Amino acid sequence: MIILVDSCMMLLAQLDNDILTAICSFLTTRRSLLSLARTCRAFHAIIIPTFLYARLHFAGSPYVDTAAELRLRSLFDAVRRRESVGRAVRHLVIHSTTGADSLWGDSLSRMPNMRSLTISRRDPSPVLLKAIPTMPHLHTLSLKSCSSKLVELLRGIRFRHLDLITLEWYNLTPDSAFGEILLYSRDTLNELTLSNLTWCFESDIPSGQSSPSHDGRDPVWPRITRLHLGSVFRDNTPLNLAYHFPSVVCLRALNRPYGLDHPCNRPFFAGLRSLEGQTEDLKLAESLGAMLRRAHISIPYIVTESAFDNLPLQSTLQSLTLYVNLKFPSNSLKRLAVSCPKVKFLGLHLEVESSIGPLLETIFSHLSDLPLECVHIHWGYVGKPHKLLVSSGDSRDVAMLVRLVPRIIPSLHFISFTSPGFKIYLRRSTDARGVAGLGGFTKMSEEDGLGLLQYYEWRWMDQAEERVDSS
Amino acid sequence: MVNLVTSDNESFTVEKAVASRSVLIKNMLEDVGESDQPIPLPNVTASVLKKVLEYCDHHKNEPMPTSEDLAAEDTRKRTTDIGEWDQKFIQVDQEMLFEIILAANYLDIKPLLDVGCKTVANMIKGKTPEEIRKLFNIVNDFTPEEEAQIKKENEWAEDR
Repeated sequence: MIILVDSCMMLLAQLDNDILTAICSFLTTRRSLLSLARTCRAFHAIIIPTFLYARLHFAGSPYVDTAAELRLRSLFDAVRRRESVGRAVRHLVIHSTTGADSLWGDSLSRMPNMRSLTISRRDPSPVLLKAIPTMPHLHTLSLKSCSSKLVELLRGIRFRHLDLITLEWYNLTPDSAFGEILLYSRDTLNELTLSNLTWCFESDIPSGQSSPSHDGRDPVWPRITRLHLGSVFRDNTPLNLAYHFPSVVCLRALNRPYGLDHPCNRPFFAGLRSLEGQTEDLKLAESLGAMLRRAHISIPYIVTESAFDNLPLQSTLQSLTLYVNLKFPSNSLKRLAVSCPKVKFLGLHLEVESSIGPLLETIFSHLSDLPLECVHIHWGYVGKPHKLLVSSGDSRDVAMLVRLVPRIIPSLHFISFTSPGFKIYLRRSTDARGVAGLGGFTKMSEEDGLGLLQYYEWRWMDQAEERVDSS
Repeated sequence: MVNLVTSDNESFTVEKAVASRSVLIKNMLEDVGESDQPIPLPNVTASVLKKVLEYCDHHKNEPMPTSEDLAAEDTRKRTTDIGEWDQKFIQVDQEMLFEIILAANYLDIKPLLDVGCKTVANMIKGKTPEEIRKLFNIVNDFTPEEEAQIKKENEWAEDR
């Protein structure tokens, strides 16, 4: 399969399978994997089905896309025809199953090695879920709105990550299906969503005991580090997060349960490193002693600079993402250098009515005193019909700005600009000695750019130590 | 100081901190204890070792990857981005690139192995099968029928 240009020359396909596998693991899009698999038999054998079918992510659109539907038939056919294909699937994300419930259900029943499954459509058909009990390795499940009857199917599975929200309000007692699953997964769960339920586990530490015993009987989940909290109701006593979830470092507040501000939750908040939620959640976390490294905050109502000044943005923050609306006073960003001078990642989700150019210029001019490594700016247009959402001027505005940015923020390494229908990822170019100069930024492929952005968005979440850059 | 001897019998004397970037050498040093004995590296030539040691020297003061870092990789939360110095370092011809990858694998220097593998992956990304074949001198050994079949079977994968 190889032309020996020079008998001494080392060639790609001569590397052993472990190394080729490592190389393939850095290919993140199906298209790149497929291209390599189509070069010759050796790569085909490594990549299909092991890599190409191992992670399937179907980001369906709400609109029926005939072309995509037809392409999907090739997947169903392959799964039906060859057992090895179904067995190769480890991770699957499906958004829409419109018109294909039974085809998906049949395919799922042929995927016994599934590790993680996400079905994000509302009220998935029982046909889709009936295969779940036949997946002995399943450890991650995301069902954002499923009938509580279907939770019964999950009894006896030990989860690491469970993102389950029932359509009907759920009474989470120790004997309920959900309760039993949680207790069964006590020692494995590291990420959990709680919403749309009444929490009926005992929060009281038995008398005569100063701290909870972690001997397997108490409703304590010592390994959960990421908790997503929505509408959780509790009778009489407040939900004691510090007791049930002693190791949480990342909290995503979907809705704030009543009673979180109780003093018993002070140790919980003091242990947080990352918070995603609204302005009010940030205030609560700050008042209960959180020292956040990462905050992901939605602040739709701030219209004055002084209101922004009152946001408790902490000096410990290294990663900050703000969701703001049209009225957001962009001048207030100049305060960031004072309130959180260590920020290395800044994400801004904005709304604009017209050209983004002037706003971007204002924003960057206020960021010059921050040690930023990465800036991600996403904007959506408001007040315009859908067709006009994509501004033809975006490219031009961004190109102009990119010429200025290196001089404004010398530490910046990566910039991402996205809006509906527009994406550009740029990284600092290096000079001949490999040193980042002021020479500007070069465009990255979408695959690499998205990968790097996801890395930065994750970086300050829950790692114990901050990494030292290799450069 | 540590003395390393390559397959082509060249000897390199380097600081312990530099040599210990290699988990293989680090473990050897721990097993043997203090010793002046040279360490033979029969799978690495002098030209490759020189390059590998340049990498180890540049990174000698960084923390070694922990098991936590390795665990984080399981979740695919890792970047294919390569540090700026490393990018410059790895700008070598294909043969040297593959030799470095093999040496990093043998010497157990995970971050260097990653830099090498990421570089190859980045060369592949966004290219058509024909372009990849040309770049790496790969001969297409599929029959036209097989090629058509593979394309048809994997149609679903072409959209992203």
